[in-house]
Amino acid sequence: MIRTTLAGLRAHKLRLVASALAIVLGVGFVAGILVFNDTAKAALLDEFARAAKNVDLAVQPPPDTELPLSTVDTLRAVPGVSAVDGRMRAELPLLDRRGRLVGNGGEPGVAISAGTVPALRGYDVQAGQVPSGPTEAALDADTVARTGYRLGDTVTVLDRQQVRQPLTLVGIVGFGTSKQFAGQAVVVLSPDAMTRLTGVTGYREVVATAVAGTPVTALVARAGSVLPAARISTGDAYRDDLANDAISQLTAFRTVLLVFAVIACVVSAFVIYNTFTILMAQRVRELALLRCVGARRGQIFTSVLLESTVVGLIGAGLGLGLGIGVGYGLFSGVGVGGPLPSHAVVLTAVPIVAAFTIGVLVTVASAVIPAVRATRVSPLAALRAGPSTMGPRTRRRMLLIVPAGLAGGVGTGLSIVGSTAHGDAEFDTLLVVAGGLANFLAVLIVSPLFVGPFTAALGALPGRWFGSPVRLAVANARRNPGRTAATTATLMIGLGLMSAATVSLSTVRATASDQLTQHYPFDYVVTPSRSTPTIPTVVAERLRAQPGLGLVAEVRTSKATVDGRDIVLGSLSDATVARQALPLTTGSVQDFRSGSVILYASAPAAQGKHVGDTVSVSTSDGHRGTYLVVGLVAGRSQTGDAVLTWEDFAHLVPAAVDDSVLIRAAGGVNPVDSRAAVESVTDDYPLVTVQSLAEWRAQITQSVDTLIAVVGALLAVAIIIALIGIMNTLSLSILERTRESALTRALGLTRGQLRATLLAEALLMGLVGSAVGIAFGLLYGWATVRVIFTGFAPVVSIPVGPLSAYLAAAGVAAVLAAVLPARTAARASIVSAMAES
Amino acid sequence: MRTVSAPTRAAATVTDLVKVYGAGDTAVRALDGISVHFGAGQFTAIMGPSGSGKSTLMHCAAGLDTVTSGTVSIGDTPITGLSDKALTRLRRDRVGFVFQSFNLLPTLTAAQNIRLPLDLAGRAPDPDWYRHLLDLLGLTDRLHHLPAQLSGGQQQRVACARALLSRPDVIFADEPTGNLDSRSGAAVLDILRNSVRELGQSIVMVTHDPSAAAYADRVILLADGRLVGELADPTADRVLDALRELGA
Repeated sequence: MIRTTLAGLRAHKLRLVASALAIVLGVGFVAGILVFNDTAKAALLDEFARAAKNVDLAVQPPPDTELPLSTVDTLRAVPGVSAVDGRMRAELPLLDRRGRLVGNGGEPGVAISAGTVPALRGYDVQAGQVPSGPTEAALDADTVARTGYRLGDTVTVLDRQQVRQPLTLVGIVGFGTSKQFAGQAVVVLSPDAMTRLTGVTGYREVVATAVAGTPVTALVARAGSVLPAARISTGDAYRDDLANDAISQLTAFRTVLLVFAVIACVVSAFVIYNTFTILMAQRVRELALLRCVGARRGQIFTSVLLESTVVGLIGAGLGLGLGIGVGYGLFSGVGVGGPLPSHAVVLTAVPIVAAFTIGVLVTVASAVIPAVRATRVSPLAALRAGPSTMGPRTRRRMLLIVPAGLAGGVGTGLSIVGSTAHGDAEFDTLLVVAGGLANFLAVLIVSPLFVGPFTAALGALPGRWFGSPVRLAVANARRNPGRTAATTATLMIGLGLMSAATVSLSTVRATASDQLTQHYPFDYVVTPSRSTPTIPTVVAERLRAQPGLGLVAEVRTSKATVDGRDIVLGSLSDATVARQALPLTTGSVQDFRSGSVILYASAPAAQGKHVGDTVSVSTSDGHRGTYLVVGLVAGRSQTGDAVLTWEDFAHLVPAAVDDSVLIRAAGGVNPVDSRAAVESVTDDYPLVTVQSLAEWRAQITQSVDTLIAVVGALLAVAIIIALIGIMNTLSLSILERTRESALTRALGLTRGQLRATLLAEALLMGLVGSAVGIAFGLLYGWATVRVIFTGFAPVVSIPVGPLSAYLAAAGVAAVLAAVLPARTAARASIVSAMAES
Repeated sequence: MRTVSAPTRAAATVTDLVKVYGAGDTAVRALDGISVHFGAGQFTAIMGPSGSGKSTLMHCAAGLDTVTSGTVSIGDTPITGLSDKALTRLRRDRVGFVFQSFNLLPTLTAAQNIRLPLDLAGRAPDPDWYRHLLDLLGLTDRLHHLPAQLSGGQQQRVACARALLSRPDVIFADEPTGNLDSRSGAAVLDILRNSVRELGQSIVMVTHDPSAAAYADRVILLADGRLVGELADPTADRVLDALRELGA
């Protein structure tokens, strides 16, 4: 039986190409992600090797603290320790020759201490010397190259008060292959200068070398007894720890990617299922003959599964190869030059095992139903004349309707509960998404019942205009609804997810834009850099002094608790602005005065609070107060979730600094002049950025567009597999219809018309699949986003342009997928095709 | 009652036709310089043993297959050398087909199958002629059935209606009764013969059944790709005798 199977496999190998290709892509995606992850991990481990060079023992402070300066002496006193050095590290903005921030995407540079023990330095001196005086500095070689600074030049940094400080460039340093500082400007300073400029008073880590022959583990134990609070590790463990911190960020990235890989594998499963179903239908005669000559049902079943196993193995093998390529491509494309150093590709057992497990499991599981159907072939079928087709028409409708009804019932129930409950927004969203998945399953199950009529409806008008070719195409697409449904399902999945993402992200964008317009009647917003999230208070004062600016309002926020639950406390310096910026759903802004608070209803701490309630607010440094709730606001806050008056806030959080400054130009001042007025102040503070509201809106739009593009790229694999599925179904169907095509050719269908018929069939399948997918995505994109924005109605945006573009693209792609099969069919000689049985 | 047309007018003509399959050692000479004149308004049967080239002759004469050398004309139009598109159009407009099996598209109803060649041409059938044909062939109450819901005889009658509807220069029938029981077969042959006698249709039929050939006005006999005999106004017995001579 095995020999029969393998012979059959060889004979039909071309027909299985699509299945194998689907598996290759799905597995390649998974393996690629895993290889990427492993390679990145190895690269990160190497990267931290430079920092750990010569280090036998490393001491690190408890989280969010620093080691006192005395640690060096304490450690030096430990027997077996030979040399000790402390490493300081702090943020330090460096300016270029024109006074602008040298940075990597708004990140200012860092300062590190020069160190006193040459062997324990985390860097190499490439030119000049190590800075020792209070106004000396060394820079990393990349930054020197970027800024054009030369040894002996004066370089400018901003101290912690954001005051410019000149330093003399005395050295250029390198970090080997390490990209620990990932494109940031690194300034090396003497310890004195470090403390003076950055205010650092302790070490980020203290490293030591051991006296030759001292066992490192013993040293770790001895150091631990004198430094009980610190974390002490061997040099190797230290290196791994550093790397693992960086790797944990990669893991989140990997998880997201794997979700999309799973989607690609599900789509592959549909393609494989369809291929095997069609192959079994075409082989009814052959299977029946096997049964005639004595094959048991079990043997037929095993034979089909064996065939799928071989396909799965081959696909997985090729997929693994593809994955290695993809993984390394992803690694060099995304990582190197950005957050990752270069590294040779790393292949562990994990991707290999995953590739073969997934490849074989998906293929075999998808072939089970066709295999079961194959066993039902009666031996008599071998003797029957006529075209050999296994009738899917025997399938009872109830077999589809009952499970679809169940899935749909569960899905609709979950969606309704999620949409109407007003508990935790995250949990509600999860309910709606789960409901969406169940409903989608229901749609997939019943799709054999509706794709036929839907295709007919879609083809009715073109059929009238373009005549027989289109009418034949509609008839062909309808003749086997199960097959068409399974083919279109793949596109439904891909485009459903794509349009759900598009609708929800567009709604987020439209809502954010609407909020800005309605509640932010300002022209400019001054915001701090990401890493130094405050603005010197003097900025607002100086802006207020500018004649061209009509209104300047500071926004301050702080962490606090309301009745024991965490909340972000906020305040606006201008009461008029505050009233305008807070669109109350209940209560009245007129009541907003000292002693009162306005809550954002979406904040967890605000749950169950009503106007008239009294809440107690306390801060981490012990200030507390009791306030009367005078209003509730829906929406997402830009100013904290519990808003106090400026005076109350100052009383509760005396140390607060500005988070942002809102500016409105004076009446009659044109945009060029008002912008110049703002920048005349902010130019002195390289760490703050000025954005006009128009720019802000553009930035939101851009980030949403980027996200949509990323989702699209990740779904591309699934959509490509779906298109392979269309090509495959069509090729195999055309094979089945060889004689029929010849008959129509004999009766007067030109080659062009035959091609048009097949292309139209592909187009119809493509359009039906994507139309259902897009409709579903539209519904659930909207439902999901409604729940995410708890408590207020989002501005629902239905991006007609992109959605119609998806539909058109899917149609075009489906037609392209059919070009090759259609060409083959049109080329066939009529006489020989008629003779085929 | 016979409408005999002038012998000079032809429904289809083949001259010095040669058809070679394959090349070199494996080359098979299916037609070896054959010349036949299929008279207009005549019912011609092509007979011969298996492998004699009768189906190849029909395929070449109908423009379904290319020829190695020689010429083929449908009516007065030479078709050798025509492009595939022109050939297809010619088949659609001027030739009708009835095949042994697999004659109808399974996805189309009887009516749609009958009208398919005209649909492909973008023309509407002459309504009187259409109704007349349906009455004649007894298909009026089967029009909305799919082929799978029709008997073999009914399917072949639908195929006949399809071939007759466009009043082609010539209808080629390839073993039209091969898959039918004798009663249904006789009914189909009656239709073909009546369409020649009463409607003036020209028909060329390939068959290996002497009693089917007896319905024809003329039988031509083929062996090894050559024309080896001809009978006018054949009877089944005379055809059988002629075939026996060939076999001897």
